[in-house]
Amino acid sequence: MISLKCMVEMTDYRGEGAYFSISIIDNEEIYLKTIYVLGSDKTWFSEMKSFWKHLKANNLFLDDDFYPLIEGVSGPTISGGETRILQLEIPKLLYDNANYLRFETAVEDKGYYPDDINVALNEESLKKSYEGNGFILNIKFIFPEK
Amino acid sequence: MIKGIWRSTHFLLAISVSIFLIIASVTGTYLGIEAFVDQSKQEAISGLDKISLKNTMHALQNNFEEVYKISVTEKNFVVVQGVTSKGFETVYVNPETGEKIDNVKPRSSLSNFMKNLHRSLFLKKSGRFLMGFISFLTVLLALTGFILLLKKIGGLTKIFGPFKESQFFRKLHVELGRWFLIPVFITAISGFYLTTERLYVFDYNKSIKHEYKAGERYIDLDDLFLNKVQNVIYPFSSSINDTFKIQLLNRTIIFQRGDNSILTEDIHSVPYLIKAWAYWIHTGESNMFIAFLLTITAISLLFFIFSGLFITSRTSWALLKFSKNNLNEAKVIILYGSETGNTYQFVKRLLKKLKKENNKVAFCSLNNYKIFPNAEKIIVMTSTYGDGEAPSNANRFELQFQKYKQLKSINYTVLGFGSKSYPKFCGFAEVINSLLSKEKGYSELYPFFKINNQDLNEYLYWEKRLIKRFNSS
Repeated sequence: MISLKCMVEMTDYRGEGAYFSISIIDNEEIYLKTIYVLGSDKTWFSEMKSFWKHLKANNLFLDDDFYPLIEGVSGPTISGGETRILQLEIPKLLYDNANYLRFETAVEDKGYYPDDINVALNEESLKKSYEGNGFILNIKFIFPEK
Repeated sequence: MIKGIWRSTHFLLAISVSIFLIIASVTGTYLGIEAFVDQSKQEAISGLDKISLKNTMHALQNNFEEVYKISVTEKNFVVVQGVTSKGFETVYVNPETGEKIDNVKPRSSLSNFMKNLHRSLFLKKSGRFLMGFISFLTVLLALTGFILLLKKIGGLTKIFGPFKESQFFRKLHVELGRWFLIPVFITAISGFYLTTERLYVFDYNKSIKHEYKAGERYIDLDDLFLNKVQNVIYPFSSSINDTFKIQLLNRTIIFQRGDNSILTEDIHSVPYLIKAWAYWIHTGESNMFIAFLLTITAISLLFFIFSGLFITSRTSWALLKFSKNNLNEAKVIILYGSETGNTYQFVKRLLKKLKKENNKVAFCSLNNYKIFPNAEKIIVMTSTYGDGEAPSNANRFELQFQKYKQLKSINYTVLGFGSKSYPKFCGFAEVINSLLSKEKGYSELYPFFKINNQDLNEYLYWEKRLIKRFNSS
């Protein structure tokens, strides 16, 4: 596993908390692995339509590895203007292999962005910071010091 | 009908909210108990107001290699996300020692289910709107209930004094009313505020923003206690200029690592603070006493609903049905005198029958006799009280009758209810009959008739013949 520290800042949108997932996809947009989901209440996961398809197709709900990916700590979702620091665990096999990190966001009645941000999974591109297309203002990455 | 307006309003509100209110009360009871139980767990920290943020941040250094975020939840749990020797973890900690208490687990699915049902009936925005509206109606319900309570008990000063009521459900309803009126009111109005807030009626994002140069102002973490803190986001990078972001209850502060100089300060607007208060009082998540009070309030609401349903079945439905009782337009007026309500049942029966036959009909008690501008027919139905006396809602009739004269000529008939076991069988009805017969402009529609012991067959016999006269005249 490769550990990656990631800071997400949300835009100042008004509305419900955002549902948010981070998945690794290949260059044909096939889901390889979901590595992070924000929103402890899975009832609303269906708002993230693309992720939801992947979830259902692979029966992830039955997967024991899936639940630790869900963060349900201080509020199930991430709201407008909020900052979060996340710890991402990326399987070595999928790293540096022409795959992407996809940040998917959805807010009730406000919209859904399957590609809020896509970042190529290699050291070069993870050094930069990125601006989102949707509810994400920007993201930054750091490899934790060993 | 002004007399019944509070009762009718109270009743109509109750009927329209009852189903949703039952859902809200049952789920509310569950959530109240949950909040109460959560407060008894060891991760619920008491005395947050005595632990400084500096103390906690210092203590965490000994147990974490790196801290990403500290959150103090509404339930007084202190949650830390960070890296320990075991890797990245999200844990409850003791803020004084910095030691881990337990891993954070997601809410149980039952708890989520209850919360969703309570907030939005699983209908997302429209459900939230509906529940907000229900809370609003509950506020009105509490207010109309309060007026009825005052009338029942006889004024604000006697609110906890004794009252007369023998029927169990009525007694329960009134008794609950005076104990739970205020909790119900507060729960409903805070719930209403929370939903309107989520529908973005108020612009709470508008905050006052101050910016400072490095070195202009400093934050004193020693003087900042955890009860005021919502969360602390640690600097992302190891750069000396990187910043901490602290969210307090009333402001958000960004300050520089190293010298603690404040860069920006956002002061929250008033609606934001009201929301925090409404959340605090409506969920009881941070206070066992409030959680307990909310739980019994939710249970009391269930008792309100069911005792209310038992009481209403008779009086309130009747009030609503007769709200179309227009004495000014009616051509047929039924005047009744009733002591125990038995005669009243026959009045309702006749009223229904006459309405079916397309008559413009209205009714009132004999005491409320006045000028009925469109009246052509008057039907008197009355019992007799004791020894030929008037029942209590008819004792002023004779006076009224002398005072008010009808505008048109009147066809009248009198129906007496009584018991042959009394010497003056239908004595009072007889008095009225002779009074009407002597009045100028009055002619008999159907001869004076007496019914013994509320005999339904005798009544039906009379009714049939009366209707026949109606159709022939």
